Amino acid sequence: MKEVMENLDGDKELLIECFDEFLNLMPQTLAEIQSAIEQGNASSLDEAAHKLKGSLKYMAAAHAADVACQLETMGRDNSLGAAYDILRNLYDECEKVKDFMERYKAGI
Amino acid sequence: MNMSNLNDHFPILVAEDDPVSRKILEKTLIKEGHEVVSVENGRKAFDLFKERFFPIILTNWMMPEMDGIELCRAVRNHQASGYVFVIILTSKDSKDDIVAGLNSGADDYVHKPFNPPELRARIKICMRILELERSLKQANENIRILSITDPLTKSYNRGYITERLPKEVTRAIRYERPLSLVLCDIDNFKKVNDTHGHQAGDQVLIEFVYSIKQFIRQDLDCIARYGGEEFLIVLPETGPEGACILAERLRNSISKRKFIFQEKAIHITCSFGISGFDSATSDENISSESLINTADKYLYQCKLEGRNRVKAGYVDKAQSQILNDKRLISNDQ
Repeated sequence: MKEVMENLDGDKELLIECFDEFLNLMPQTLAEIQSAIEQGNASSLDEAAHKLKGSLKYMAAAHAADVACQLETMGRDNSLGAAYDILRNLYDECEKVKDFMERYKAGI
Repeated sequence: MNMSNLNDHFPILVAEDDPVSRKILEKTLIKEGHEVVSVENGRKAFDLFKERFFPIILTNWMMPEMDGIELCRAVRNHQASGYVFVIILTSKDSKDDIVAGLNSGADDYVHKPFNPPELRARIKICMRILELERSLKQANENIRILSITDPLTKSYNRGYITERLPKEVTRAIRYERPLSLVLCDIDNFKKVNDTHGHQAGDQVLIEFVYSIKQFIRQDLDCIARYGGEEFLIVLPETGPEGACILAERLRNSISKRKFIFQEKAIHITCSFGISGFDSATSDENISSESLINTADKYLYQCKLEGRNRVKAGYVDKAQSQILNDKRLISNDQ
């Protein structure tokens, strides 16, 4: 949390707004990533994974951001061989982030 | 000027497709007092920029439709009204990427996720540079105004009118519009200086120009100091007949006015030589030189015939005859 608050200049109100933005964004972006993998569309995978990675980094979700980065690299290199495995991993990591955010919001 | 005032002058355009990053950017900058307009890709940013000037653009690098690098190039190729400071936000951190970003025309880059104090510091750097540009522009404008202004009377100077008159003549000929010149000279001005001193003479010149400015159209006509006590008034959209009416009003007003210097009233009169043309005038007779020469000829006639009068004519001699026949020339003392 310390790292997130540094990214947000210690603004708790902004933190909640960002959590809400992220929770809105996450299902849609994960769906975009899945669709890109299913269609073998490397550039779409690159773009969607890059966007999700950026948001995850602001939320200091380092592990989830690393997984998104792996998919981004696969997209950029047009090498989608193991993409489904990484996607499952990403879903799991994003679910953890979502749980954390929802618990945090509920505790406020 | 303090920093919060500066912020008002530098609205920031943010182009960022990631809603989380966009929200953090907006809030960080708004808290600093900036006006922030944010859009989700480079295409929308550039479309908005074409409609409204933003001196600061903060753009993400990777975005759909138009990325930050393309936006940067588009902004640099666009004829903007001032310098645009572009900061690229990027999670790319290789030297090659940074060089590519800066080579595209970006002024600076900030790594994502950005650190708010660092971003604020970088925005302050760009405001200092933009403020420097603004002060240089203002200084240039001041110099430009000085270069075309007569320092005593604050009318235009001879250099300015020499450049402007041919443009007015060209425009009038092209659109078949009338144009007139009034060359006016304060009668026996040397006597004012000799009798009341040069300071009084200067004051008379200042007030003389002020008086004339009350009669001419502020956004259309112009008056320039052509010589010591000789002034040239350019009257676009006005034929010699109209110029005569104006000059007669000026002559009448000046001759009745008391110019007060150190509690002493000074009376002056003025002679007006007018030249002009309209759509019926043959183009071959029209030029800046012919206008000035004709006005000067009529001014000289005023002086010969006793001063304090208005004499006018077209640059085309055939038309001048018509003007004289209409008895529009004032001959009263």
